[in-house]
Amino acid sequence: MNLNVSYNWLKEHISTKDNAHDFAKKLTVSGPTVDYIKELSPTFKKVVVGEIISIEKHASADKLNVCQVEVGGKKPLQIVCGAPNIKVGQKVPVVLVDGEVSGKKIKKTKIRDIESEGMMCSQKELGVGEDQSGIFILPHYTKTGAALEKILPIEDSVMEIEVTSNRLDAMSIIGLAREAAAITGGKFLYQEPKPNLKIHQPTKLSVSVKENKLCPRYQAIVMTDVKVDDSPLWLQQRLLSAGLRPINNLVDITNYVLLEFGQPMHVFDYQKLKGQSIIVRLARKGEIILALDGRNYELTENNLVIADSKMPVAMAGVMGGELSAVSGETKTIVLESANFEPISIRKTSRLLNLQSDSSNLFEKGLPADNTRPALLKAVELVRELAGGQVASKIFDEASYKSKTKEISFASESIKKTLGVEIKLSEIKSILESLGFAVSGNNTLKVKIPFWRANDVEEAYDLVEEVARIYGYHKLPSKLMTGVIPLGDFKNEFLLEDKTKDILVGLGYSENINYSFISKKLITNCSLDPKNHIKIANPLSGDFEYMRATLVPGLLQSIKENERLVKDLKIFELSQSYQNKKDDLPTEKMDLVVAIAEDSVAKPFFDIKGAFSVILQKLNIEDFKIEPLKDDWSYWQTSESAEISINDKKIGIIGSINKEILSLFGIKKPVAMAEIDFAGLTELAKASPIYRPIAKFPAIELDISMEIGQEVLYQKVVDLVKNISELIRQVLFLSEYQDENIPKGKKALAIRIVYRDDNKTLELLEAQKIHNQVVEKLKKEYNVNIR
Amino acid sequence: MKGKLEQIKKEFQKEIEAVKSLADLEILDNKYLGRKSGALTSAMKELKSLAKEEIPKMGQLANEVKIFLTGEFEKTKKKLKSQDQISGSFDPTLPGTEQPIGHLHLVSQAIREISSIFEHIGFQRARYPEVEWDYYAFEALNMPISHPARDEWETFFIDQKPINKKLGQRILTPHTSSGQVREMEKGILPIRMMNISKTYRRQIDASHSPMFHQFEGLVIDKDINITHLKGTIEYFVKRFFGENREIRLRPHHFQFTEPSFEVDISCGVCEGRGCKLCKEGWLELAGAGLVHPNVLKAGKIDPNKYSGFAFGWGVERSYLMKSGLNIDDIRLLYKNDLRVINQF
Repeated sequence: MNLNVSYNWLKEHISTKDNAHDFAKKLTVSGPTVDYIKELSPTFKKVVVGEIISIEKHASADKLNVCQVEVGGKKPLQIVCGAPNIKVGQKVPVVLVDGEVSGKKIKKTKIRDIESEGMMCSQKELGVGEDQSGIFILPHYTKTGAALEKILPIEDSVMEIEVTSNRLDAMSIIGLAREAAAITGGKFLYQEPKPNLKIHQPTKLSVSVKENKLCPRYQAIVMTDVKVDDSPLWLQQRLLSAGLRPINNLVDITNYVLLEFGQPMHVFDYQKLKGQSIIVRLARKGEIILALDGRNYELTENNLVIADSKMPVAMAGVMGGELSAVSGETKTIVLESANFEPISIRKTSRLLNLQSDSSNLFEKGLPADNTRPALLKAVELVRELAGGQVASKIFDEASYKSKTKEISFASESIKKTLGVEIKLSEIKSILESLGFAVSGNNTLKVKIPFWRANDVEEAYDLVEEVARIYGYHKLPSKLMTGVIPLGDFKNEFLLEDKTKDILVGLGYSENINYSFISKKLITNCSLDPKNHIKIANPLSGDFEYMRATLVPGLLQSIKENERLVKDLKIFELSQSYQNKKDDLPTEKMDLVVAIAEDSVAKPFFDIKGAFSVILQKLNIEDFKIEPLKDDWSYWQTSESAEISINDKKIGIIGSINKEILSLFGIKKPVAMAEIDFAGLTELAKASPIYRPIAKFPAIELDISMEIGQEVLYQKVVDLVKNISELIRQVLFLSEYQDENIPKGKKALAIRIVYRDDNKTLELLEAQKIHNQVVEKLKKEYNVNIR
Repeated sequence: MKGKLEQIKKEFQKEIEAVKSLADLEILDNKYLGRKSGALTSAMKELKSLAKEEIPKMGQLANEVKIFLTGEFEKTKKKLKSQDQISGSFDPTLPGTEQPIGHLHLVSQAIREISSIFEHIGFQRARYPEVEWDYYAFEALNMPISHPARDEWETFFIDQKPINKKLGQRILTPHTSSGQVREMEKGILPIRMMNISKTYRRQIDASHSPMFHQFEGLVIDKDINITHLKGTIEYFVKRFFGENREIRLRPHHFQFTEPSFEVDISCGVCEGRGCKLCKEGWLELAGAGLVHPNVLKAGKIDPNKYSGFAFGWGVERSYLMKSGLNIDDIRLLYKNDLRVINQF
């Protein structure tokens, strides 16, 4: 949680000579982080307190008013003003002619023909607060004509401090001051308030807690003779610096105490509590409360409320009710300082979708011991600022037991964690400065103060306290010594990187798509959403399933890019997610390579070529490719083929079905390879096979033939290779069909490489085998030699 | 004879002045000095038939003419050659022949750079499920089911019922820390592991993509303490961001580390003075800490014998921070617009 903290306020509770920046640096490296510092200084000159005497509409401008403002001079000033919130009788800050505000010089001027001798200004213009919706209305008792800088203590540094969720105790001025004292070595000045609690006019109130578990402590006090009024400017300024809006002195006091002690409080108008009673109970189903935010909330039996004898007057720990709130007529009040169980507050807050500063603190689990000092401070302030008198005892309905935890820990565990030795005396003094009571020597016995009972649970928590106050910045930086662990080495990462590099070298660009996929993309690819993993709480329909193949994502990418980039060559090497009923899905590493180009036949062979290079570089000797037999979701069966290596199916290379392309809105033909990369890595060999360079020359003889168009090239190769051991290689030269080739035939040219490892092969000998090859081809496939 | 030689010289002078190319010069060379029928060659052959007393004189003259001719040839040849270089058709400023060139995704580049730095100090990459049991993502990391800290990880849940109580629901892992207890469960000690993986959170805006990448280091050994954490992170920061960058460990709170830190690096723009891009001179980078004893226990490791540290960073954030690339919407990285990808 981030707090805006006035440095002036902090300094009331800690003595320090540091400027705000040095102070912040120290705090940040050992405790709560100071994210930003905002310097507050008057951004005005010649601003005085004015009283609005009259307001008249500007004759020629609807939104403007002409005001007469008394500033203690010979006669009132005439000021043209457009702010919506001004009323006769209000005290306002007025910039005099030749004065300055926010760097703007104020001159005598005419606004739509009417003379204006100065300007009234907002909080924002004065640099006091963020509000700029209207003029900053000052307390009515402010002296007219007084110079503003004399009465508004504006010089301050406001720190935005991040306090981690476990350190509830530091989410207050006093808590931060205590931290800062331990960190900076400054003196912690806080002392528990001691207001005069003498009862002047005993006033009857009954307090009962029906739900002890949900409300471990409820403290309250009645005060009379209060005068509801504006808070003094110094208090307003404190609230403004923390980002709170001043309302009236009583409400402001509870907010002030909230900020100072981290204890939410509430104030009721005593007269409005029916039966002069306070009952902490669960709401009845259907009970309705009009809250301070002006909205009605319907409650259920799950909501804890503060009720009078008739109805709920506040949603416990979340927000007060409008009907029991203090108003200008309020004379007698009840101050509440209570403790509520965090989970119940969290539930109510979530259920009603209502969060407040109060609920944010309670739901983290405040200590019940904190209610008393806060209440005492509030009593002190009500006496001081609202003239109130104590009119009852302090009611204290407490069912909790004060936890006095003691943890013992070995001082040597500090060295184990920090890597350096800290003197016992220093360890003790650090812990004591944080409010821990320490005894013992090598084994320290540490008493945990109530405000740390929630976050300090074990010895290691104390080690952390010592370590951070000592200062992590004082520790040296070291690397681990000893043997480098061999661990569980996986070469998959190497092979992935290698494959990506090959593809990039061949001109393919890498895509990384979301693992999520929409139902539409799944069905567009003729796949079944049922075979996909479904997200229970997706961000939107686009992110509803986990992809079971990378193909749809790449098709989407082709669609987005096909008009922008010529010769689209992309790939993705990443996981797909295969559903399993009673286990986590299989996260399969897949490789999909894609080309979208205008020529029809070539993309397939480009991809096949790229795939061959990958295999070669992964030291996989050979693969088998066969035309796809069955229909496959997104493949164009007639132009697709299945790849297998050592009889293991490894993927498909082919064209994407035209109908699917049109569902995606893709114009160009698309060829892809979808490879089971995990399967491929299992077949990959760490190093290539070396074959010595041949000692004797080879003889190359070509055959050009006409052969049935249905005969696969691979069949021809297999047939030829089996004829003689001297045939070392069969190379592809060309394949085509044209009007000179008889129908149903194709022209195929191959080159056969003959070689003998033991002697120089004679041409005659090679020719003899070559003739056998021709005969065999004629016999097997009825070829015509061209 | 004398007249003839002088005639040759005169004609030659006229002709060589008209020569515009090396090819023409070649022809001229042949015409006068060609071995078989060059004009001067022929004339010199005729010297033998002259009167004996004339031979030395004419011979000398013929030689002078030959030297003159050869000299002129060389001069002209040089001149033509240099002219050719200036006014010829060779234009080195034309673009090179287009080569097929692909591009590695920015995130892949970042991952490589990061893993190679950690490899140097003995970290080994590992991979764990992205679709993970609640147990590994939270429970085993000292965050029982009701813990409010879980709210900070805006988690995606899988629409399938749990198969048992311990493992709980299937989720998309919101952080790489879910690999910690899995690594420990392998039972191989010591550990120096680097896990770089996709992670998922229910957040989407210019600075949050619902899928992003994190890298996580985990070290478990005897006598591991904060100085090792500091040293490791400092090594990485100096290698990745630059020698002049500093780190600071700031106390923080995470359920699965104790003590916990946030790691800041000094701002590269203002060099620590404080500017719009940083917080009082520092940039927030990562979470880190010593592995919580409860997490070690969950991984069946005795916290009295072993200790360790862990840290986790966002890959995209770190890389953008380092490179200063002005990508103002992180989601752009996963739109796969080749106009973007092909710039890297």
